[in-house]
Amino acid sequence: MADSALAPKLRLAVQAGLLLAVAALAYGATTNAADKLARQGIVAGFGFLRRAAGFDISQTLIPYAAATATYGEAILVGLLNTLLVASLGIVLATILGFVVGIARRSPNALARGLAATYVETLRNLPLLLQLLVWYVAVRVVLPPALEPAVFAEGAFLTQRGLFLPRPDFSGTGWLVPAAFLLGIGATLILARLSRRRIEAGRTPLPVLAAGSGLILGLPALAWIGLALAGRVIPIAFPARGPYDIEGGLAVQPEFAALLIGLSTYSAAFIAEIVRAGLDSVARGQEEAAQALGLNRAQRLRLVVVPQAMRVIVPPLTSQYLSLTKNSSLGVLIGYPDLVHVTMGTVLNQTNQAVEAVAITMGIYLALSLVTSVAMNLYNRRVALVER
Amino acid sequence: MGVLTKPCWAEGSRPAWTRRVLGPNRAGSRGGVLAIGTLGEGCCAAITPAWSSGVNPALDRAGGFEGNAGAEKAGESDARADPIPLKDAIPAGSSFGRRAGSRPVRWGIGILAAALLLAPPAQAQGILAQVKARGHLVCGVSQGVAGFSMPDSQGQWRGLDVEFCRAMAAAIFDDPDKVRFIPLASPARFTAVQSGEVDVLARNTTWTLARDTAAMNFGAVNFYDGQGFLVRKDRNIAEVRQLDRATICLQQGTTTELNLADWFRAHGLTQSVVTFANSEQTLSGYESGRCDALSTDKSSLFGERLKTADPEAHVILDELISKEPFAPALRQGDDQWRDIVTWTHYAMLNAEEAGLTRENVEATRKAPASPNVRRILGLEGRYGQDLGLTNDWAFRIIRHVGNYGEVFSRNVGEGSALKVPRGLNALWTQGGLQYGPPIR
Repeated sequence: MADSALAPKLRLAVQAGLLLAVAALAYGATTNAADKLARQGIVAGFGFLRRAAGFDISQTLIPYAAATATYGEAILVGLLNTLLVASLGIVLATILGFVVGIARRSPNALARGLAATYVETLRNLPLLLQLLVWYVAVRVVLPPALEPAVFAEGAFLTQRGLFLPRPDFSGTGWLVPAAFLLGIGATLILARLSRRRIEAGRTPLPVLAAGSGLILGLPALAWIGLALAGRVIPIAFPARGPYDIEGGLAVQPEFAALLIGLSTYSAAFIAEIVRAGLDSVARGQEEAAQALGLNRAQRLRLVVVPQAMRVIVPPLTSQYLSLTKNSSLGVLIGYPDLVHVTMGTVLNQTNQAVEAVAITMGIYLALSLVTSVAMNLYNRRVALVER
Repeated sequence: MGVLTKPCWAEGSRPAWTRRVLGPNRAGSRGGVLAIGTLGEGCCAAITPAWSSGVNPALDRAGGFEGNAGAEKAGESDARADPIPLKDAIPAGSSFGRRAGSRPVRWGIGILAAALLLAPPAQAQGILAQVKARGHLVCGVSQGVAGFSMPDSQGQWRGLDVEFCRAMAAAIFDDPDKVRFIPLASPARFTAVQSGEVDVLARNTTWTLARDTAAMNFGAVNFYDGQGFLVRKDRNIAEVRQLDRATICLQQGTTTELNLADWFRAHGLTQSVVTFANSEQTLSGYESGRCDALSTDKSSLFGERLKTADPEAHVILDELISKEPFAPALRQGDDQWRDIVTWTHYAMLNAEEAGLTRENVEATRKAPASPNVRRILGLEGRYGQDLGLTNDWAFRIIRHVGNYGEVFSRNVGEGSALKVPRGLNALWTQGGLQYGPPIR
């Protein structure tokens, strides 16, 4: 105002001063904390990660024995549990969210009403409450441990979980999951080829039929092939023990309640994002597609949704991030995720509060950044498609 | 400054005007150039001790606080006063005040205020002096373990551990109500001790070597316990071995988790565990059938059993799988405070052994029978003063709280709903482990 030439410099100086002040504050807080810890005789450092943990964890995706495992491994078990529930949650929430979001723009009044009720109910109740309800429901509705509901050969459902036969893919058995992955890869390539054909004005390939055939057929072929070669894949069947169904693949009720709670809750938000995305596509686009003779499913899949994605993806990223972070609420229903193991047990057994909190924060930050970067890359792709 | 809004010298709180006087005075002595660390330290140190020693001339000028003691009851005021209003703290005429006018300095002040918030209380002074200056004891307790620490229907804290803290307050202030109880979750309790958030942690906490070396000390064991199991009666389980392959509900962040894994491994048995963050969820997990047994300290099992829908349907196994000596924890490095914590319990043991009760102690003090009783009641020697207290410290404990047997019976024993047998916690003269070294 007074001297316009000086103003930018002054502003720069002020900014620099502020930066310095923030740095000084951070430095002061850090040295202060270090000083206080030293004065209280608390040994700082991450050496405790290599010490024996000595406690059990209810759900472990990797081999974990309380006797020999270290605190570091315990934290890894917790991290994997977080990744499992978060990744499955993201997939389920996305599918459910798109279905509900599209249903809100359905010509069918019943579907619209149901979808609206779903969104308004689930997004307006606290997630914690929903998790507790799911957890109680799982335990109250399902039969007691030794009176299981048997709905198929070797599959039991009780309040202690869902028990399924588990094939053992060790040894040559790895061919089966490998064939499964191969099927997915082949389907993706097929989809790309099909798109090229459409762009070149030719008829599309039957991606859906061929893809499901590949994804299911290849592992089945591998399985049969191995059996014929005399290498039958052993299957561990769950059976009744003295207290519980034992063996096989157990889906624990804590995991189930958390997964259901997280995905249904996030799906309500995703549905709104999808609805906003659909609304952002100009009406004329759909009318033009109709004029071309496309049916409603084709209009959505080929014309409307691809254009809506550029509006959908950025807020969708935020939903994925919150879903991952919200998975820490599993602590309240006994799900051994990263926070449960690190902040609950490890912190308390080792008294390394600063380190435990730092590890937890660092991991969540890393997870969020990776998700964010992946989604931004995807966003760049869908943004280009439109132009 | 100088407007004494509360011209009182309360034991219970840090009056607002002392902050105003001390803040700038201290700052002024440093010529207004302040490093973050020094102000954080200096201010906190100044706030707590300086006035009591009367070394601060500004305070002396500010007026007599001698006669106003107790004008404000400890219980009514909150010791954790709001962050110091630095703007108020700056005297209008001082150089510091003038500097405060420019914008960068105002930012500086904002940052300093933040640093003050970040800085933990200074610990240069002994805990006893801090407690006396504050006017009440800050005691960490559980979030609700029946018989040990739990608020009653009137919101009053009750229990064995609670009464231990009340006994300490009685010894220090001659008033068992000068305690502020802070309920702490298992995972938060040790940090609270180490950071000085609580003066003493009486929270059914097991004394272990690892905890003792983790910047903490422990007082005398005020309850000998062990890890036990609660099971459904209709399962006909008599010993822990029969729980092979069972699922067990536990509260996480406790020695329980480690003991259980150890014990089952040592006996060649297997088990599944489900761990929950607090005792309510653990009990709910057990009751709903998620687990076959609930395992925690046996003393707590009596309370947990009472909380179930049908206590008669559950039994507590006799067997114990671990040693769980509960002792109050305190910050390491203050021997005087450690002595007070330790001997508060021993005073109650000596009282029980000598037959001194809350009922008879006043009459006995008028005509004490034996030299031992005279020493306990502070009529002989200067044992209390040597502790940093008054000579009638033990008398105060007995008069306000009672002896150990009374406290035990009232909270967990025959006089309570829990009906925990005295067992290991009987006096050594009656076959138990409670043994108070002599007061002499």
